[in-house]
This record gives sequence, structure tokens and C-alpha cells, in this order.
Amino acid sequence: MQRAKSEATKVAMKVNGKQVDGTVEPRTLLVNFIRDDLGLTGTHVGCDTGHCGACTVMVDGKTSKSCMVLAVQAQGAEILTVEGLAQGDELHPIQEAFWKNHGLQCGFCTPGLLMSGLYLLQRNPDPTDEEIRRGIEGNLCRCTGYVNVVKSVRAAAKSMREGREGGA
Amino acid sequence: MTVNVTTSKHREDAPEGRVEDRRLLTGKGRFVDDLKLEGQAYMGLVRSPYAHAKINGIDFSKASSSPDFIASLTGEDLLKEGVQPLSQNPWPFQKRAKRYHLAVGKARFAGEPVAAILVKNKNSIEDLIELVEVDYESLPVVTTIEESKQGNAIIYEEWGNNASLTSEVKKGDAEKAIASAAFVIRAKEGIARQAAAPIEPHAVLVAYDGKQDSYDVWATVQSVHGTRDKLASELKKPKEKFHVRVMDMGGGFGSKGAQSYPEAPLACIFARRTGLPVKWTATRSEEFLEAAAGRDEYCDITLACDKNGRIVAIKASVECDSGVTGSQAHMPTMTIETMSGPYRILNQDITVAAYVTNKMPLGPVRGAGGPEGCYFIERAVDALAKKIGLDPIEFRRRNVLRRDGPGEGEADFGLLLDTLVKSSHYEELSQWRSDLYSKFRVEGPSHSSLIAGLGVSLTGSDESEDDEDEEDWSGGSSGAESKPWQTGGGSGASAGEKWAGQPAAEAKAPWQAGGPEKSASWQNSGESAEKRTWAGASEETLGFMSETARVTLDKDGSVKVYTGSSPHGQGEETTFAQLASEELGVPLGSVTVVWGDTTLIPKGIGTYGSRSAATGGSAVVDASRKLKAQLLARASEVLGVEPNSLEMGGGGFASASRPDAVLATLADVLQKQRADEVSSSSVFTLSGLSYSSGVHLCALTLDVELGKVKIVKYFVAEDCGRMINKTIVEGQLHGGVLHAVGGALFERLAYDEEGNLLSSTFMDYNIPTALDSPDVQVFHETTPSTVTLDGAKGVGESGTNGAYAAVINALNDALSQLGTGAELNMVPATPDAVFRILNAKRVKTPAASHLLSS
Repeated sequence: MQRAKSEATKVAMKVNGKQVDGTVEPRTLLVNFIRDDLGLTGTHVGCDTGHCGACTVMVDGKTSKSCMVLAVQAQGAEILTVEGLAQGDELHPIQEAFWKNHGLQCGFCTPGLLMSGLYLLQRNPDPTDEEIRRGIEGNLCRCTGYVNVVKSVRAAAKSMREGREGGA
Repeated sequence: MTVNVTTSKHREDAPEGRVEDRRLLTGKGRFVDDLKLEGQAYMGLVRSPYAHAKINGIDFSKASSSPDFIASLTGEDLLKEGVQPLSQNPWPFQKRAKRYHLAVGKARFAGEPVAAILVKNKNSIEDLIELVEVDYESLPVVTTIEESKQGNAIIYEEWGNNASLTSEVKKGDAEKAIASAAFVIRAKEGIARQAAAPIEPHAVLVAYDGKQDSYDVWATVQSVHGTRDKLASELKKPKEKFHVRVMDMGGGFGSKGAQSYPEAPLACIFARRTGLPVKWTATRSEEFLEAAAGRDEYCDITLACDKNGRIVAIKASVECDSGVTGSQAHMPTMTIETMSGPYRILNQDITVAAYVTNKMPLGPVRGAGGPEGCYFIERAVDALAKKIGLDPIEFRRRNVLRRDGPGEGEADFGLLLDTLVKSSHYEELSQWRSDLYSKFRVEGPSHSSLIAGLGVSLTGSDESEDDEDEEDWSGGSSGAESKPWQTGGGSGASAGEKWAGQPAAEAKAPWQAGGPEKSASWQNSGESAEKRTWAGASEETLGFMSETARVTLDKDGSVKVYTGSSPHGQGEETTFAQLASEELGVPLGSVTVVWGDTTLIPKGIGTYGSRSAATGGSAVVDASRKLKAQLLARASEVLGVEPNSLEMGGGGFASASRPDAVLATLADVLQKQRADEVSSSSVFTLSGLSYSSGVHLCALTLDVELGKVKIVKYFVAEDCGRMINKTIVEGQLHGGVLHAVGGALFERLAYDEEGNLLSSTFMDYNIPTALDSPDVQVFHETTPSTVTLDGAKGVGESGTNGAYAAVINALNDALSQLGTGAELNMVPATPDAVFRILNAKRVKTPAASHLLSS
């Protein structure tokens, strides 16, 4: 059975602070729009079924598995991907924390983990280890055993709290 | 310019963060699926929905009417092209079979590719796959070892049966030793089929150059050289026609190793036929259907010890469900060759037989047979310890060798056990276990359903068998009293515990009564470790012992390390830079590591089998030392002094007698010699294997109501030789342990009786999440390897090897408190499996009686 060929549709959204637009088939996934059309390949596809979390991005400030969202559903949304975390050469505190604490090995799941970690810390600036584990439960990692991921999120929480207290 | 040339080696502290991390953290990693070539087309694979079926015809007419359709391929097309079957690595024990990239004549497992299509639009791949009509005639299916033995269907007609591999390890007379042994246990154990499951699926991108008749191939592989060589032989073209590259890769765990997969050759054929760049990326389900899986081994084991608690014999029969023939088949052989672990067992009768079934082929998955061997023996060791009433740690102490003081080479398992007991606060854990059980007994399961268990395992091998010098091991003093198994002591050991199951008259422990029976052959078993482990080793195995490196120094002072290794998470951009920096006395920041490119690095082996730090690292050290010698020779020419009167370091040369007075910089010397770059290379071959050894301890709780297991604490005491980078070593152990925790508790590739894979997404195939994972703590002993130049021993698989056994031993320790005889030996121990074991043995819990009666 051949699916009906659908008309290309225009989409526009803000990605990492920049207004972008494109023309996509309505069935195009947000993750494919981000990767293939915008060339932002830091967001990865690990499972296409919403289980692994490698494709996690922020959509209007909330984490979203971008392989579970159509590009057209993100019409007008504000998207944050891993490419939008650092300010120029300066790493975001959560990136810095993953770096200093060996929170990544192969780095494939990392962009998604950074997003889930960041989302957790925005809601809970001082999480317990159990809360951190709960916060990143939707992101699968096969390399680290999560030991140093948890340590990294804990370190990021500390530096982000200190940054805030320091008036930054 | 001030440079201090010191006479000692330049050692910078390991960097706080890895060199490779910055690009990976900022979304600038370069994974294969991230690449895009102008006008690239997409390959799709039509996969058999039947586990065993004759292919009567393939009709592309509907698919080819789509405007997105470009081209198609079938198995028959490959035969016409003269394509050679998928390569099988030489492994002397395995029968060989022809299997093509696309099934020819019949499909032998559900998910086997039977046709390939090339399409214009990524979104259309699956639509067009659906439009390909294949006329199948289903055949009887073989999905279990039993069915395979019975031969209700023969998978390779030319074989006449389904047996694919046999091998054995024999030593002494196991039968006789068991018959006269004081204590004997027998157990049936097994580990289900499990996936490597790297988070990045397989991908390949090929571009064809018609003028040169050559191929640019980017592929998710642990060995670009192995992939190049297979492409060349399967497509019958010279190796130089294939430029194979890999950049960043999202994990491999063996499944992207030296396997032969169909996709890269198929993409090459499409690229040549159409002139278009061809991209293929697996979906997760395709990954589960086709990427080589591991384990699927089952063991009937008998283990015997004497009245002193010394293991005297092992008899084991291992069976393996190998799926269809794969390119790598050494895993079951590895299992039996590593099964005696660190124990010196004089009588061994271990056999293995593998059978083909209608499933995707097995391949190496982190540990590659090692975790199975360790699991089989360590479960049996626990059972035997229990039978004679000895604490499992104490029982192990009596069966491992103990070194007298610092040494090099093999690990000291006695010392590792001491470290583990001390660092894990084993006595407190034992108390916690007793307390939980008391609470359970007093309050009852409906109020307090948790009980605890502790489990230990040892991973590593006794490689000291060719060590004839008994003094090295006997503690230095003379007489039987100093033998390692006699000392008994150490915190946590239950010296003096009574020997359960022994007549009262013999209840006194033998070591108290004046020493064990003399065992003359203990020190004198003639066979060498190497011979034992690598009997029948093929050329492939010799390749496994080697790695290449080239180190170059540019006149600007920058150093490049080219390695035949292929890092994909192991951090070699950092550790190899550390090694070169240390050897050459240059700053870490001036060293760049290059890998994964068959043009830049024409020869290499790759990263798998815990080989990179040990073998690849040795090649880097060797090449760096050669480069240093060359630079000293050049400097001596320029300065007119003897090379051995010079020291090199800190970017310059000085007289050995006055290291602070720099005579020339590296740049001076290169300039005077009119050299833009100097380099040295190495093809380094290890003289022996060098693997890490470890002692694991798992502490877990078992919910007797629900069958749910939670790992509360996990400890590893490890000896991986010299640690080039402690943080990276520990990361390898964390991940290795969790891989096996998943394997022990959650992961199973389940098939129905028709051979359909039931667990083809991460929903059905559960790899552990952060919530399922323990905080693994690692403690180190660092006995440098004597066969590697950097002193390192391979550590990548050690965590996985040991953790299955530690987890399941802990679970059985918990179960044993119930006194019902409930025992779990088949892995994974899912809550369902544990629940059934609990209730088969009539542990009366309210939830169970309710659930089982409904």
C-alpha cells in the first residue's frame, strides 16, 4: 500500500535564537529537520521510537524527544539544541561539568543527556543523586554506567548555583 | 628560550578533561550519519519476515514505478556480479558456510536481507521496502539447540547436520579426580542471547570515483583496515581501491568489530552502478535484527574440591546457540579457554559445541565469551563454597595464588581480595545483610519484603603456569605452612568456620590441623598459559597481538600520533597523546592523535578485545622511542657530540651532565637538517596477552514479594597494570560493569517458536537506565604488565567479564537465606524469572499466592 504523497509544507521556528524556515514533507520528523535541513547534527538519532533520548532537545523550554515530534508540530516554537549551549568559546556550565568529570565516553548520547540534565537543574537547582537519576532516566547511555554522568550533573548544579549567587 | 631538559621522563598529570570531549560536548562530533554528500541516495533493505524460507521470486515492479525509486539488487544479482560470500574470519574450530550479502535461494533468519533498493528520498525508504513483493515458501524452523540437534531442519544442506563448532580443554584426569573428591557440586547455568546495543546504530556512506574506479567509504566500524580488506576480497578488487574512514563513533562493544555485514559492500555496488553517493543508516529495529548478538551459552558444570577446600577438578559441557554462521565464531572457544579463571585447576575436562539455528549470527559482545566463562565457574565456585560451609571469599582465597610483596606481570588475587574486603567495608555489609533478614523474619514479607545478598566474583586468568619458580608465589619462606591457601586470614574471611556437611570428627579445618595434602603438580603443571589459551591460534590471532603507530614531529614542534587503533569512547586521543608526550618530553597540548583512515594509516588492527591501551599503546611508545632515538642522533650530528651524551625533553636537547643548559631546540635541529618533519613508525607485537584482573563485590536487595532486584552497592578491586589515565580506566569499568548488570538482570533477545524476534526496540529490550544502575566504586592495584611497553593491561572488558557472576551470586546469596533451596542460574534474572523461582519453591508471600492463583 502506497501512502498518499503529501504536499510539502513550510515551517518556521526559532532554533538556538535564530529564526529559521524550510519546506518539508508533513511527515518529516523534527529531528530530521534539525539534522538534515538545518545541518545541526549534534542532535542524534539512536532508536526512532522515543526510548533512548539521544535526540532530546528543548522545545519552548521543555525537553522533548525530537524523533517523536513532527517538524510541523514545532511551527513557531523556540528550539534549543546542543549547538546553542555554549556562548562562543565558553562552554555552558553543564558542558564544562561533563568535561571535567568524564561524563561522556563515545559522546553519542551526550547531547540528549545535557538537555535532560539542564532541564532538571532549571527546575531543581540542588537535586539529590536519586533525583538526578530520575531526571536522566529517559536517556540511555551504554558507555559510562551513568556513574560519571550523575557526578557531572551534580557538579553542574553546584557551579550553576554558585554562578547565580555570584550574580552572574 | 628557556627549556629545562630533565633527565627523568617528562610526566604531565593526566588532563582534567579528555582531549576529544570539546567537540562531542558542543555538537561538533563527526558521526557517520552526520555526513551528507551532494545528491546522496538512500539504501533500504528488504528483510525476510520468515526465519527460514525459500525465495521463489522477487518483484520490484510496484516499487520501481515510484518516482523515488532508483535501483535494486538481489542475491542473484550479486552472484552475477561475482561477489564473494560474506567473509568468515579463520577460526579452526568452526565449520564454514557460504552466506551472501543478500540471501541466495533461501533466507535463514528473520530479518536477513533478501533485496536492497536505492531511493531518492529518506522519508520514502520504508514505503518502497513495503512495495517489494517477495514470494516466500516457508520452511521448518530451528530456533533452539535441541531442535538444531534433532535436525528437524538442516540450515546448511551441505553440512548434513546443524553442528557448527566443537572444541575442548583437557588436562589431568577430571573424571577420576571428581570420583575421589571430598566435595562435588553440579549445576546447570546459562546466559540468554543479548545485544551489544551501542546507542549509535550502524551506518555507512559510500562515494564512487568512476575515473579511478575507487571507493570512499565512511562506516561505523571498530577497524577500518578489517573493513577495507573485507570489501576488497568480497568485491574482488585491490585494497587500494577502498579508502575507508571512521571518525567519531557512538559505541561498538564488539558489534561494529571485525564482523562482515552486508551493507558496505551493497552500498559500494549501488554507488558504482548509479554514480550516486549512497547512504545507509540502520533503524534501531534493524540493529536488533541484524547486528551480531552475544552470549546464548549454556553450561552443565561439575566442580570438585578436596577436604582442604582446594578445587581439584572441573568438568563442564558448554552448548552455544550460534544462530546462522557469522564471520566471527571464537566466543564459545574463549568461554572454555577462560573458564578456569584465576584458579589453578589440575584436572579439567571442558568441552563446547555450537549449533546453528535460524537466528541472526552471534558475534563478540563486550567480553566475547569471557563473561560466560567467568559466570559459569564463579557460580559453581559459590555453590561449592556453600556446600563445604566456607565463606565465598575465604574459599576463593584458598584457590588463588598470592604474591610476596610488589611484583610485576600477573595480578595478586589475594591482595585484590584484601583490598576489596577492606575498601568495601565488607563486614558492615554482612551486618546489613543479616539485619535486613532479621527484619524480614520478624515483621514478615507483607511488612518487610526486602532481603539482601552479597556476591563476589573473580575475573582474570592464572597466567603463572609457566612460572616454574615456586618461591615467587610461596610467600618466601619454606615449608607447607607458608602456602597461600593455608594462611586463611584477612578481614572478612571466616577462618575457623565449621565445615558444614562434614562428619563431626573432621569439623576442624585442615589448615589448623597441619597443612594441606601435598599437591606436587601445583607448581609444576607443564603447559604454558599461552599454549593453553591460544592453542590453534590462527593468523588472525597473530594480527590481534599487533598494532601499528607512526609518530611525527613537525618543525613547529607539534607531534602527530597515527594509530591503527580506532577509539570510539575509550579516550585514546587523550591517553595516546599522554604516552607520546611522556616519551618525547613535549607538552601534552602539542600532540594530536589521528586514527580511522586507511590512507593516512595504511596498516592497523583496530579497537576491540581490550587491546588498545595495551597493544596500541605499546606501538605508540615504541614509535615514540624510535623517534626520540632518531632525534638524538640528528641532534648529535648537528651539535657534534655523541648521542648518548645528550638528553632530550622540554622541546630541546641538553648535555646529560647539564640538563638545564639547552644546547639546541627541536626546531633548531630540524632546521639545520632541512627537515620539515621527522617520523618513526612501529608495528608492535605483544609477546603475550595482557589483561586486567578484577575482584567484584555486589550488594543487592531482593523484594521477595515482587521478585525485583536492586543493586545497592557495587565494588571492583582491579589490577589493570599501569594506569595511563585513572579517570578513563574507571570509566571503562563503570560501563563494563553496567553492561553486565543489564545482562544479568534485564536483557534478553527473545524469539518466538517461529524464530521471530520479539524484542526489537528499546521498549522490549531493556538496557539499564540511570535508575537501574549502581554507583560503581573502583579500587586499584597497579602491577605493571611485563609484555606491554606502557605497562598497561587491557581493561575494556574486565568489568563485563566479572559482573554477571557477582550479581547472580549476590542474588542467590539472598535467596539462600530463605532456606527453600530456591536457586537462579539462568540469566537474565528478570523480576518475572525471580518471582517464578521464588514461588516454584513455595515461598509463601501474599502477592504470590494471589498472582499465581489468578
